[in-house]
This record gives sequence, C-alpha cells and structure tokens, in this order.
Amino acid sequence: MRIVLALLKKEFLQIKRNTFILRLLLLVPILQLCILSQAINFEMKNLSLMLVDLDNSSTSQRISTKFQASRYFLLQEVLHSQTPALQAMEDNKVDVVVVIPPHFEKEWSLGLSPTVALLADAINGMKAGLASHYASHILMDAALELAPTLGLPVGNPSPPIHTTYTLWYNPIWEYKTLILPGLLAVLVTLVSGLLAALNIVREKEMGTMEQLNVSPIAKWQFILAKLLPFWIIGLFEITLGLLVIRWVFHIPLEGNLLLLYAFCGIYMFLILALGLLISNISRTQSQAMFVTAFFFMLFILMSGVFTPVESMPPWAQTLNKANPIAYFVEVSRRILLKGASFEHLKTSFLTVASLASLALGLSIWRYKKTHADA
Amino acid sequence: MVYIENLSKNFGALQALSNIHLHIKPKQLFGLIGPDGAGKSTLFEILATLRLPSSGKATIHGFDLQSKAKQIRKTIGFMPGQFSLYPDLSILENIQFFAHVYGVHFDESSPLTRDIWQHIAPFKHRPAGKLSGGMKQKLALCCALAHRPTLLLLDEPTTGVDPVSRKEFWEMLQSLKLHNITTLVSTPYMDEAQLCECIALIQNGKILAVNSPSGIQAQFKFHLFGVQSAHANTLLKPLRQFEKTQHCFAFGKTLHLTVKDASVSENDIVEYLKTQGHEHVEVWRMQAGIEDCFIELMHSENHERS
Repeated sequence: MRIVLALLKKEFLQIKRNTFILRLLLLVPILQLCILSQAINFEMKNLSLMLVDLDNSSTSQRISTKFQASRYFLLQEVLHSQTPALQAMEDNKVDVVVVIPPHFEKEWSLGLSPTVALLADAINGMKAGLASHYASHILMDAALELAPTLGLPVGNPSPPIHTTYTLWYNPIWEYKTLILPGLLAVLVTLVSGLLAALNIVREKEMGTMEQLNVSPIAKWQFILAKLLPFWIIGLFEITLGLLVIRWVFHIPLEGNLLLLYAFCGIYMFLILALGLLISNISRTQSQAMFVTAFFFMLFILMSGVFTPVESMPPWAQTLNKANPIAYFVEVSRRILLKGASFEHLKTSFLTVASLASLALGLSIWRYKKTHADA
Repeated sequence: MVYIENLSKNFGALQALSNIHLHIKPKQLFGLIGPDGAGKSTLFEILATLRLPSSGKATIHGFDLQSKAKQIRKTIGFMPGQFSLYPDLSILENIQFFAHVYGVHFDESSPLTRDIWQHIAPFKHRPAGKLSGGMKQKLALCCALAHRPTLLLLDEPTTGVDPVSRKEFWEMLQSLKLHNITTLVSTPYMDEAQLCECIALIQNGKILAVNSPSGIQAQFKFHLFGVQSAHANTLLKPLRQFEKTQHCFAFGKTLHLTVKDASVSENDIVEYLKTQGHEHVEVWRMQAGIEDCFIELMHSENHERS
C-alpha cells in the first residue's frame, strides 16, 4: 500500500505541476458543455418558406397568415406563380414551398377535397421531414378553423380518432434536457480517457518506465496508481458538470444522485482501464492518441447522444452493447430525467462492471515488466 | 555475486551478445569496456531484468535471472544509459519517490549516500530537468542507491559528462566498496578502465578479455613504441608500410607503433623513417595502455574470424 501511495503522490505532483493538463481537465469540458449545448439543437425553427398562392381567395390568404404566425416558419414571400418559387428552392434560398392550387376555395366550399402541394428540400432529410410535418399540422389546423366560414359542417373533415399527447420527463420538449447529461458523459470520457492513454506511454518515452520496471512494484500496484488519480479527477469533473447543468441551465436533477455516482465510479474504471490498456500497447504518445481517437470517435458517435440508438441497424445496436458511452448516456438520462432506481438499471450496472473488470484485467495483463522481444 | 554463463541474445538476425561468460565477485568495481554498439547496454538490460536472454543463464545473489526476477529487483540499483528521472519533480522528490517505490525511506544522513547527497543537496528543490549533465548523473546515482541495493548496474554513467564531474563520479564509485556494494559499470572511455578493479573488454557482443587492468596490460604480447614529430600525421603511412609493423595508430599527437619482433630498437625505426625522408623524429619504448590492448585484441579477433 505504501508503494501505491508513493506512486499516487508522484502522479498528483506531476498533474499539479503541469498547468496545461490542469486546464485541460477542469476548463475544457465545462467550456465545451456550455458551447455545445447552446449550438446543438434538433428542434427546427426559422425554416424559410414560400407560399405560392394561385387561388387568391380569402381562404388562401388566411392560410398564409397562419404560416406567418407559426414559430417554425419564416414566410419569405407570397408569390402568384410557381416558377420563381421553384427557382428559389434550386438556389437554396428556401426550405419549403407550399402551393395552393387555383379554385381552391371554390372546390373546397363545394365539398370536394382540393390538394395543397407541399415541396420540401430533402438534401437534409431530417429537416425536410420535420418541415413537412410542421407544415401539414398548420394546414390541418387551418382546415378545422376555416371550415365553418365556408359553410361546411364542423368536424366533418377532422379525423375520426383524435389523438392527444403529453410529453413525459421532458415536458416542454426541451432539447437541452436530453443532450446535456449525454454531452457531459462524452466530454468527461474523452478527456480522462485520453489522459490515461497518454500517461504510461509518456513514461516509456521519458525512459522512467525502465526505472519503474526494475523496481519491485507489482503490476496491479502500478495500474492502480495510474488509474486512481484520473478516477478522482473524473468524478470531480462530473460533479462540476452536474452543478453547471443544475445551476446554469436550470435542468432539474430528478433521480438519486448517489446511484448516479455509483455508476460513474464503475464507468470511470472502465474508461481509464481502456485508456491504460491503449497506453500499455502503444510505443509512442502519437500512436496512443490515434488509437484512442479511433475508438472514442466510434463510441461517441454511436452512443445515442446525437442520434437515437433505436434507429440504428440491428448489427450496430449489437455492437453498441460493448460501447461504454452508450451505457452512460442511457443510465445518466434515466437517473437524471426519469428518476430511475437501481432495479431498473441493474443490467446496465452489471454489464459496465463486468466490462470494467475485463478491461482492468487486460491492462494489467498487457503490462510487461520485461520486454517481450524475440 | 553475479555469474553469467554462456549467455546469448539476438534481435532477429542481429547477434547482440554471443556466449558471454562473466563472474563478478562481491564488492568488486567491475568495468565493462567497449565501443558503442558492442552490446554493453543489452547486457545491462538483461541483468536488470528488463530483457530476457535468448539462451544461457545468469544468476545474481544466487537467484536465477529468469525465474527469480522479483527477488533480484529488490537488490539491484540500475542507472540506464539515458537520463531517466522525472524532469518535473525536484531532486528530493525524485530520490524520495524511488526510495518509496522500494518501500524504503530516504535518509539524508545514510552513510551510503551521504557523500553524493552533499554534492546535490544545495539544489534539492530544483526540478531534475533543469540540472547540468554532471548533476543529473549524480542525482541518478543517488536515486539508484536510495533503496540500499547490493549490486549497482551503471550503464555509461559518465558519457557526455565534463572531466571534473567524471572524476568526482569515479571517486564516488570507488568509495562505494566500503559499503559492501558490487558495481558493474560500463564506459567507452579507456582511461576510466584503469579505475576499475577488474575489466572485461567487449566488442561485437563478444568478451575479448577479462582481467585486472594491469593484468590486461601484462598480456600484451608485442612491443610498443611511441613516435612523434612535428608532422606526425605524415608518418602514419610510411610506418604502416614498415615491414616490422604489426599495426600503427594515432593517439592524439603521438603514433603508437606495435611491433612483433623483440629485436627492433628505437634506432631501427628512426633509421627507417630517414630512408623515407622523415627527419627529426622522436621514438621511445612505451608501456601498453588499455586502449593498445583493446586494439590488439580486436585485431587478433578479426584475424581469427577471417
């Protein structure tokens, strides 16, 4: 234990002396959390829209007012011919074009079902999907509202089943609520994983590794001493991040924080053991950096922070069973937003714990005190 | 203390060490002398348990190098050829760390390290990375001794160090004997060989000779002359063509001429050089140094091989 303490003291001294690492550890994740949470937003607002009114009736004008009032759309212009609108879409100046055909009001008042054309620029598929969804909502609304003015029976065109919805756990459909816990997980993982990956290999480059290898330090003592400092710092960062989430973004932290910390503790073991494993295998710092970047990039993009895991193909979902960040994102969301208990999260806890012991075992095993050359 | 038997090491096709036999007695200051690339560092790494030999065996304190590495590590102090302490930690922090790693507390007044500590103590709060070359080596020696080992392995500790620090360093090594420490030290400097009790000359992974420095010099089979003139460099070619010459090398301003035939006198050489048009030449008999012996052994080794 005394040996581990000596190693720990040395690690903390080195971290304390290295102002760059200190800044990297404390400032960067918080800064990134603030920037990214503001920048990334999947809600579509201010979609630019052109209305082609070929009918020129009071109904078509009312529809146009409806669009104008919507917070999703910016009504650029109301045209009376289709060609310039299509040209504008070609030139990337407009996202959605709504075409109201001639004799629209007349046909409608006669009880026929006139067709409104909705054209959306689908270069960005998600944007197009949302835009057409919002636009058809507005048209349906308009139809319900305008029907009585045209002498049509109220409720006649409305769908036979009326759906009503309530948003649970995220009542105002706030995107930040969803992304912040995930972002925090990604940032803390990236910084501490990278630092762990660079640590042992740095000792190799400096030559101090040989001095440690000729000493009677046991392999587990060495790995433990390398792991603990970053483990403590990682948990400290998570605390800092949660404070920012709570007090800067005013997102309620619903669940059992003790449960969350228990999970973070196990999770950090896994991430750091992976980093140290990479460090043990690599010969130079740049090698370690590239290997870490490769794996962590995969982990992050597949984690479910940015795209839902459920929409990935089955093989990717299977692959995700070995993705530490995916577990963290899921567990942190469920604890923080949904207030889930240990019973609900037992599988994730056990999986991450077994992955952690596997990674820890591997990194101790891969650490060789004697060069394994021929 | 240290027994090395028939030890070989190869890296792929490269034979770094071949059939090394060495025996180092307790409390000996043992020198491993050889040029760069001779295999000195590889031998050190094997003895320090950092590499495994390809074949052969070695024991330290009776512990087998391969099966009892753990026991060996507690008893050796290793100082690698390249400075390898933490540059961001101070002198004192480095020493304390390496002592603690062995479960020992560093004692500034310990007789073993007291002399060395006195040299570096005035700078004890300075980061190791900001020390001069000589200071760094003294610090490294102090770190290697902090846990009171009984075998000290020093790989080229004085390479790139100024002459004054070198001298001080060797004085420290010689005083270690009083503390029951066996030292194996390597150096490419032949003048430092004289300071060892026993030396092994190593070249191309082979031990050429093992003996005391005076024993090595006594083994010199030929006759050596020193030759000097105002234009010594112009003498090298004619002397090498001289029929009695075994070999001839320049050592600074003096040419060392090795002759097999005992009957050759100073006068014969002066006369020969006169016939070649060189006047005012000074020739005298001299005692072979370690370097002369090394060159002689290297030549006969190369001769045997071809």
